[in-house]
Amino acid sequence: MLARRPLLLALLLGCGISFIASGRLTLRLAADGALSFAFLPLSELAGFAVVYGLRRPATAFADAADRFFAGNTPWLWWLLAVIIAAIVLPPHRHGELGAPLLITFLIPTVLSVFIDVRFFRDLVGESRGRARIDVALQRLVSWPAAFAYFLGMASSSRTFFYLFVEIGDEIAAWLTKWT
Amino acid sequence: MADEVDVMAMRFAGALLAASVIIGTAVDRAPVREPIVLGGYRVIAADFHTHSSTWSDGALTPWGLVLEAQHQGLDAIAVTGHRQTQDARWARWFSELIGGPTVLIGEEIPEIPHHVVAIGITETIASSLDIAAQIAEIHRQGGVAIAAHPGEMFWTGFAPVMDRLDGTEICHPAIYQYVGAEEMLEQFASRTRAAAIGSSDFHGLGRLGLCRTFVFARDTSAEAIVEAIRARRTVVYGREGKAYGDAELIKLAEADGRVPKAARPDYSPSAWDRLSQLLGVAGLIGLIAGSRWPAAR
Repeated sequence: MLARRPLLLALLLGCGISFIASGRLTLRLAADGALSFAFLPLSELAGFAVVYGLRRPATAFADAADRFFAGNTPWLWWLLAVIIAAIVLPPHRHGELGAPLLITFLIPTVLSVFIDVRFFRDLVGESRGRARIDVALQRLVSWPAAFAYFLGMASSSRTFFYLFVEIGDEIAAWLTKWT
Repeated sequence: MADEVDVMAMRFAGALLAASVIIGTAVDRAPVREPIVLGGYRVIAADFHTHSSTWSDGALTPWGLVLEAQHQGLDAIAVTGHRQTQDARWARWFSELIGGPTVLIGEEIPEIPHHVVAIGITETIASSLDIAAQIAEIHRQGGVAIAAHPGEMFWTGFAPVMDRLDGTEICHPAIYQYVGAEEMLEQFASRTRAAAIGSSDFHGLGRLGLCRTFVFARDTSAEAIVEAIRARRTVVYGREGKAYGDAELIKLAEADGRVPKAARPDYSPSAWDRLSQLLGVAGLIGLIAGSRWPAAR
């Protein structure tokens, strides 16, 4: 049971990488993409395990974790939209996806918080405030872990902070182009 | 009853996805290419700026990059991790194991206000060094220093070392993305004696080798490739086939015709690709729709 939805996330990530990197869905690239981005479900699980350990709900960990991963549904739809955009656009125009990705990134980020708050309230019958704390704690563990792995050594340099300047510039350039 | 329908729908979605994978995998063949020899040199299609998923915000593993390089018709790649070279070593080991493309150990030193790509090095170069010391260290290790996507914001950073750069990226995916980027890279290149370099800066989007360098090397070894860059024996094709690099080698390449053709891979999907894409997307929609959040269960 534990593996079902985390595996679905890994599968989506693998398929997405395959489509985005080559325009094709191949076993070679899907397996490689799933392995490359396995840190995402793993870091999510780690964050959830911390909250689960603190709250000790009646539901078994495997079952609870599987249900928790259903909160990724907005992310899965977002990823699917990215895949379709990457298929439709020719490869030399993929760079144009950068700013729209960064802007729309906010939608699944916010939606998944709402879903997860509801999940934690259902799981242990918590108050809304306490469920929010649990979501924040889960994110505090999983997001930095995921970023640290993904960015690696670059995250320890000044460049890491400059990344936010670059993101701002990218969005500003895109908005200027369309307004 | 509702559960049975759900299970059937999920199985159907899975079958669509499996069919997509089977078709996609069947048509995914590495191109068979005859080696190109011009003017006594082996012409090597190379991408000198790629990132792996092992701590370098890329999308493919180091060995995945090697396999993808083969499928994109590249003879050589440099794996250029941010401030580390471990993934490049793994890629080189794997490529040697399977008889794949030449892999050069590389590093992108992403400091402010300059990003330097070091290739043909043996050890990680500390980014805490100033740019002159970084380049001196690259040269001491037998490598070459390439200005990475030198847009205007990086010009002041490179100013003290313009005469010490071995290469400069003249073709980079940014030229397709930003208005004026192509002119900026050209302006920067015109102020150096550095070899013209085309690199994809591949993180996952676009294609590995979307921008590529044709190196006129004595052989396919990493040492010969580095020597050719140092000697400025490169040709790069940018937007709409615009050629950069050594004028004599450009003439040779144009007269032969195979190099310009290799510079513009055909990315247009076949009918099988389209079928695979349709089945794949339909399968993914089915799987996501079938995976609802708890409130709906």
